Amino acid sequence: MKAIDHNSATGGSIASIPPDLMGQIIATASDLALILSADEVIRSVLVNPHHRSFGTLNQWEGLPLRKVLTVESIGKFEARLQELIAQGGTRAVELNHIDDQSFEFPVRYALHRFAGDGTILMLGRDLRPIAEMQQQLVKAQLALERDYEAQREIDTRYRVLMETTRDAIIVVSMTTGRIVDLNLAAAVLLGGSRQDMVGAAIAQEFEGRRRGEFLESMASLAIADSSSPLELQARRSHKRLLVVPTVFRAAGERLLMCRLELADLGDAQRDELTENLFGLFHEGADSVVFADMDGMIRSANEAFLNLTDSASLAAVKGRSFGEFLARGAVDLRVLSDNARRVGQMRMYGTKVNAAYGGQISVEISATYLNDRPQPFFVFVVRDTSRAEALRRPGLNVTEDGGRSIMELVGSSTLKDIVAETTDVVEKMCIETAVELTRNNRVAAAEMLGLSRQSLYVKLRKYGLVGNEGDQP
Amino acid sequence: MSDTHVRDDSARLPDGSDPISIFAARVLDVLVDRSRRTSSTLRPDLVHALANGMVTPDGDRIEETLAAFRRACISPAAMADVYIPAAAQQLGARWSSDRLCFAEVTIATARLQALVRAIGTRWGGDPAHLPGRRSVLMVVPGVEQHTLGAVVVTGQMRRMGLSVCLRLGPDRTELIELLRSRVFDVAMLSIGHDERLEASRKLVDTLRSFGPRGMPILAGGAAVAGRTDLADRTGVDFVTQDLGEALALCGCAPLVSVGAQAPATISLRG
Repeated sequence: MKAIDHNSATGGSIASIPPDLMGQIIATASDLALILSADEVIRSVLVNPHHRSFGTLNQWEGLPLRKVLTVESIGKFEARLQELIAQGGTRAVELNHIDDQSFEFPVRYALHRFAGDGTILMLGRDLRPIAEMQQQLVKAQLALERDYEAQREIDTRYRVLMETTRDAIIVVSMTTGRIVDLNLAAAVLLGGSRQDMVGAAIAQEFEGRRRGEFLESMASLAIADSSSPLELQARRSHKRLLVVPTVFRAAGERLLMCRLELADLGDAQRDELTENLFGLFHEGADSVVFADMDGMIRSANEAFLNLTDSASLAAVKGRSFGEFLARGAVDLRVLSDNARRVGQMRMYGTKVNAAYGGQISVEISATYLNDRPQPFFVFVVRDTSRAEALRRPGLNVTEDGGRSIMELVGSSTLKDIVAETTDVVEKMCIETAVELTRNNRVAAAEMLGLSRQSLYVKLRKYGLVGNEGDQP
Repeated sequence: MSDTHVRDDSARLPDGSDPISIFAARVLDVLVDRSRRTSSTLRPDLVHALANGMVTPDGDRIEETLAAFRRACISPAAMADVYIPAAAQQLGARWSSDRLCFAEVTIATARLQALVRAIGTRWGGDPAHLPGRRSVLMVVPGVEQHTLGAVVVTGQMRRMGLSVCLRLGPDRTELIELLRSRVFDVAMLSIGHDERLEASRKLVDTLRSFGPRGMPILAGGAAVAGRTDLADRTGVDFVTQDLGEALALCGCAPLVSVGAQAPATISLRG
C-alpha cells in the first residue's frame, strides 16, 4: 500500500501519522476501503477488521474496478469520477458490487482523489442492512397489493349483491350505533341518499328512539328468535317500516344487519311522486346537483359523481359547483345570477372537468328554489358531447347563444359590444383569480400578470372591493 | 355577489339571461379550449413536484401537489397513466446521479403506488350491468422487484372496461388453480429485469399448459426496451411496451373509450 499524501486541508498533526497506522485508520474508519490507481485498477482492498462479513476480498487486488461492479454501477462510478476530477472535493456514490463468491452487495462510497498521481481513495459503508430492510419493504408491499386485489374481488361481489337485491339492507355498528353501510333500497325507504346516511346514527333515522334503547331492542329481538319484527317510523320519509335485525361479528366488531320492509304497502301508492323523483334522482341519466346560495354542493346524484369521476358524495359535498365547470366561478356566476333573477335558466352550454382527462360538453339548467327559509339552486347537467361532435368546430354557439349575439348586434355598435365584452371577460377573470387564490391579492395579481396597484384599480372598477370575506 | 356593473335590463333575453355574460363566457370557452390543447403535454414541474412529494413524507406537501394537479385540470387518470410513471422514472434517475439512496427510491415508489390505489378506487372493469366483457390476466413474476408498472396498466385496462385479474408473484400451484377456475381471453406478463427471464419462461409454460388453448400471452415492462430476443427467451407470443398495441394484437379492443388521453401515451414501462 502506498503512503498517502494528505498535506492539503487537514495538514498539521495528521501529516505526522505514519503510513502504516494511516492504513489501519482508513480500514477501521470505513467498512470497506479501496485504493485505485489513476487507471481505475484496484491497488489495495482494506476490509474493516471489526466487520469481516465481506471476507478478505484480496482477490480484487489488481483487477480493474469495473470487473467487480454491476452494469448500471459502472456508468455511475464513471460519472461521479468525472465530476470529482472536474470539480475537486469529494463525491458520494452508491455502487453495487458483484463478486464470484457472493451475491450483489451495495456499498456507499465517499470518493477522494489525490491531486498528485490521481490515486483514488474510496471509503465505503456497507449498505447490506439497508438492502435487507428494502427487501422486507418490497415483500410487505407485495403482500399488501395481493391483499388489495383479493379484497377488490370480494368487494365487487358484495357491491353487486347489495345493489341488485330488492331487500333493503342496513349494516350498523353495535358499538357506535352508526350506519356502516346500506343499499339503495334501504336509503330510499329511509328517505335519504346512500352517501348521506353512511356514518349517520341509526337511532336518529327513526322517530322517538334513543341510541341505547334502539340498539338494545334490536339486539334482544335478534337473539329472541322472534317472528314479529319491530315496527318503527322513519324520520326522513315518515314511512312505517318493519325492521328485522340480525346480530353478527366481523373481525371483533359487533354488527347489526337490519332488513327493512314497508309496514303499510299503501304508503307506497300515496308517495308515488316522491318515489318516482327518488328513482329519477338515483337512476337518472342526467346529473342533478343541489347547491346552496354560494354554489356549494349540498347533494348530487350518482350520475354527477360518474360525470366528474368523484369517489363519493363526500368528495363533492361542500365544494363549489363552479370547481367542476370549465370556466369555474365564471360559469357558476352566470348560472346563479340568471337563475336568481327569474327563477330559472335553460340550456347553458359549458364543459365539465370530467373523468379521464378530457372535458365533457354539457348543457346546464339552473332552477332557483326560493319557497323556503334557505333557498337553493338545482342544477341539471346534461352530457351533450355526442351532439357536440356533430356541430361545427370553433365557437360552439348553441341556439340560445346565437340568439343572444343577434340581440346584441342589433342593439349596439361593434365597438360597444367589444368594450363591454372585454369588461365582462376582465371581471370574470379577476373574480376567478381572486377565488383561486382564496382572496390573496398578491397571488391573484401575480397570476394575472398585473401589478398589485393595477389589480386594486380593477377590483374597484368592477366593484369587487369590500365583498363578503374580503381582506382589507 | 354584488354587481355594481349595472346594465340596462332591456338587454336581457326573454328568459332573463344576460347576453353579454353568455357571450363573454363563450369567448372564454374558446380561450380555455385553446389553452387546454397546449396543456395536454407533460408538465415537467408537476412531475418534479410529485417526485419530491413522495420523497418527503409531508402530508401537506402531497396535498399541495394534488391541488396543483387539480388546478392544471389534470385528471386522476392522466396522473396515474402519465405523471406517476414519469415521477417513478425521475426517482430512478436520481439514484443514478446519487441524489437518492436506493432505499429512498424504493420507499418513494411505494408511496407512488399507494397514490395510484388512492386515486383509482373507483376504476372497476366489472360493472354489474355490463357483464360479458373481455378478461385479462396480468401477472408479475415473483422475482420482480417492481409492481408499479403492472398496477398502472391494470388501472388503465379497468378504466377501458376490461375485467382484469392482477396476480403479483403467484406460485405455480396458485396460478394453476386460477387457470382452472377462470377463463381469460389474454395473459400479460410485466417483466422489469432482463436478468431473470428463466422465471418468466416457467410462468409462460404454466400459462400454456393450463390456460385456454390459443390464449395469447404478451410481455411488457422495462425489460422489453432495446431487446429483440425477449419473445424467444420467454416463449410469449408478443412483446410490446404499448398497451394499445398489446390489446389490438390479441383482439381485445377497449370497449369503453378512455377519452382524449387515449392509450397512445401508455407504456408498460415498469
